[in-house]
Amino acid sequence: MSTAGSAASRKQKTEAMAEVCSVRVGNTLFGVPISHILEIVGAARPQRVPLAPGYVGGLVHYRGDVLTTVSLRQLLQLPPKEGTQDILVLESEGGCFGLLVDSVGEVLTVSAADYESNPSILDERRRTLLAGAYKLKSGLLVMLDPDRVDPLRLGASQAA
Amino acid sequence: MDDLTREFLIESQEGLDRMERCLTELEERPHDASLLADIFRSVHTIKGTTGFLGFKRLEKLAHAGENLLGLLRDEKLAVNAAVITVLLHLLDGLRSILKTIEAEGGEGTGEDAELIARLEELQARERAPDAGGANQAASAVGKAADGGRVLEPGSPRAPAAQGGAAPAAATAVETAEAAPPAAEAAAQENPAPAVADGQKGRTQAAGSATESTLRVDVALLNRIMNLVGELVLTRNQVLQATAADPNMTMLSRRLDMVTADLRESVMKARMQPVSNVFSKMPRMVRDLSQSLGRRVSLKMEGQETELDKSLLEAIKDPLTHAVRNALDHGIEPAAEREAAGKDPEGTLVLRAVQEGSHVVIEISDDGAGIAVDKVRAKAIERGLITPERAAQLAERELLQLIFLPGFSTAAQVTNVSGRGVGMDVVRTNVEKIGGKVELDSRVGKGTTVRLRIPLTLAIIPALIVRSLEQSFALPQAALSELVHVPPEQAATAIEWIENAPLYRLRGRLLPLVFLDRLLMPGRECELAADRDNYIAVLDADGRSFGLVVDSLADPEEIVVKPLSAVLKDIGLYSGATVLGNADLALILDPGSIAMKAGVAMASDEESARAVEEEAETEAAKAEFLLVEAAGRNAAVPLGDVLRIEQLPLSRIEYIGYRPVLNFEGQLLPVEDSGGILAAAEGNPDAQIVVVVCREGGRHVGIAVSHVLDVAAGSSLFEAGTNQRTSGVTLLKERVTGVVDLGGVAPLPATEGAPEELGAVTEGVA
Repeated sequence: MSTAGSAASRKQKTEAMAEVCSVRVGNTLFGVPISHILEIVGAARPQRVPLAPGYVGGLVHYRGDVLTTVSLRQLLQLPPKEGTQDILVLESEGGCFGLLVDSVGEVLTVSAADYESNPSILDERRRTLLAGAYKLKSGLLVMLDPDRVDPLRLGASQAA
Repeated sequence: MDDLTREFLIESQEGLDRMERCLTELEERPHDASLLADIFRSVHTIKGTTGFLGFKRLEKLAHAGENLLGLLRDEKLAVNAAVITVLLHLLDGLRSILKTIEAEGGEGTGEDAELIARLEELQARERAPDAGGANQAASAVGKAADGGRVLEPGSPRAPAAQGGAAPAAATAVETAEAAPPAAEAAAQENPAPAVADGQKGRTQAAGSATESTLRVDVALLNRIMNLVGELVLTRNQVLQATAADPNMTMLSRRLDMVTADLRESVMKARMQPVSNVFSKMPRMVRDLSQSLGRRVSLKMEGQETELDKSLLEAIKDPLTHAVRNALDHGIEPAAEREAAGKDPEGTLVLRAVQEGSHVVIEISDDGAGIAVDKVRAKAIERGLITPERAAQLAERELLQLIFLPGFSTAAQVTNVSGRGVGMDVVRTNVEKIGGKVELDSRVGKGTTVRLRIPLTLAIIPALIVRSLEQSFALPQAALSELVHVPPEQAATAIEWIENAPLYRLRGRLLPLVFLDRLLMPGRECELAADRDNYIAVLDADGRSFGLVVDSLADPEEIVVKPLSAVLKDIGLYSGATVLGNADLALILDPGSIAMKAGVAMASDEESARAVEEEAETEAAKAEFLLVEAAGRNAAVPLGDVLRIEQLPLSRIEYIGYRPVLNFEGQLLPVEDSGGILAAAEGNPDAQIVVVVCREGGRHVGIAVSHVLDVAAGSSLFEAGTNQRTSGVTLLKERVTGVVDLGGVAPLPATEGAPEELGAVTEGVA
């Protein structure tokens, strides 16, 4: 996926469609490719883990296993949210992990033609987490790179 | 690695295990043809399949071994110690190549020329005296070898052999599983028809076993276990939700039963007999006793006792250590034994038995036992304990010193043991899986090491505690007692040395760790004055400390779930679990908490304590549990008290006149010299108190009316002689009789003669 908008990519428009699950955190609409999502767990209250790294949102019980969750709010340095949150269960190399978001919205079909990569003014922290945006009629859908929010990877980058 | 190779590795591993067992048996029964045939078959199968898979090095070695085994099997060569030693080396050689294949995918570049030469040398020895026989043998071997090579891919002889052999061989070339039977079929070309027939029979037997059993990946079993755990939780919630609805009662009860059954079956699927580990021991004992110059006979009992697979793996090392120790430090050289009037051949007994929810593995020898004086001297020499402190320890406590890291009583360092990494490794490994190590030793009589292993790892008993408004699980295995500090004592209960909080527990200073402060640095270390406080006294890896928590919930059997790597790295939690109320709880790791909080090992702790003069004099006194029986006071040595049970009188049963207590499937003799049971008879609702004590290797119960207190006793000296009196102690300024635990007659089931049954000891003064 390179910069969109050229005549060539417009031609491929029908083929280059992607399905993205939209989630809301704070005022932003984020997107996660549905191919990475195993399941969506609604209205969860993760159990806090004292002394855990800041980005760990806690533990939830998921299909007989205990799932570590990553708080997107924490990653984006937003204040914690009161009440329950929704969880996207994502697949990663080291197993599964949960991504804590404020709420999960609908699955959107987006076209590669509307894609634009990260703007240069984005701060370093966000630039590593985000993978560009789709320009929708209602606003921007900011894409998350599921691999970059993997707790294993976050742990490694923090240690480094 | 492809499936074919993996299958081959598993099968070869099993074959070699069988070969090892047969070899040690062969030493006792050198003329047993069936053992030789079994060994031949193991090596032959490996050779046949390796050719097929293209492992040339392995094939060469197996081939050399097979030639020798062929001669042995055909009685062209007699089995003797030298032959067995070489065959054991062959076994090791084959194993190490298999290991290389498993690790690297290839068989490595090592040379086996020396071993092959030794194998051939033994064959040559046979050939020299009887040339005719040897020629025949050589041709026989040649033929057998040809048969084995039949399956080599690309070999021009392969199609011909397929035609000649049984139809099974035709399919064999295509499927990996069938390779061993095919090798078998090829072996039937062998010139020894009787043996070939025997093999045929066994092949059929093996075939039927394959049909009724199935290899299952352990990871899959773990997954099933997880799901069953999940089902158990869901069941709990369903049961709660449907409790009010009478229509659902039958259904939920059925769900309850099925779930319990399912859970049990899955646990059973993970169980393996301890013989899997025990079977390695004869070989080891043989090798060790030879290199140490001891004569040892090994007896193994209870091999069919089953244990969870992962636990079985975990006890391999401790068991090996304990057996090594028994041979090196325990059993004396034959001459020494004879001089002591013992059978020159020592006996080592490995016994496995299930006791309630634990499996006990005993390693007992009839060797020299552990000399307590030597232990004391060594511990002082190594600086593990101060001389003053050592002088105060009881024999039993001194014996425990050998579990300290860096302790070894071997006079000289041998390659077997004596590097100072012995018993502490045993204890650490066993405690890691929630087990316990017990030690009994009598000088001149022998030593018994007892490993007490929980039946399963996946489910452990734990106490749920609360702190920071969160639940945490504390494994019961590490928990030794709980102390309740009521609000009014909160201000005075903790004493300080600078910034170290301490609690005075029966005269000893116990270092305290505040769980909330540990988990949330910056909080104040103090007990809340407005509510109850609890101290969980934990004992982990030889470290003893008190963990201060806000409140206690119920003990629960918890299903241990692993944590992700990120959370494991915190180092305080060993896992997580889902509680009955569907809450999540982190499982605390007492060992790591002690380390993190800087709690020292017991030995350092002891010497540090010696500085504290007041604590010193307190600790010098033996401690007793003060009990009241029929209006009189009596003392029970606190160190021997395991627990105190309050139970209805109806729980007490009788064997003849002897009152006994059936406790979790174990029979406990109950001592009733105070006549408590007799007095309460006729009152079915009466509650009695039984103090469960340890006496040597057994447990006994003492019936009492009340437990009064714990107090330090002082010795009394007889007037005139100034001799220390036995059987009485000065407790709270009153002369009190000490219950004689050794005097409690054993149960008739063990060795007590019937006439002893009614015997009443002078327990209560």
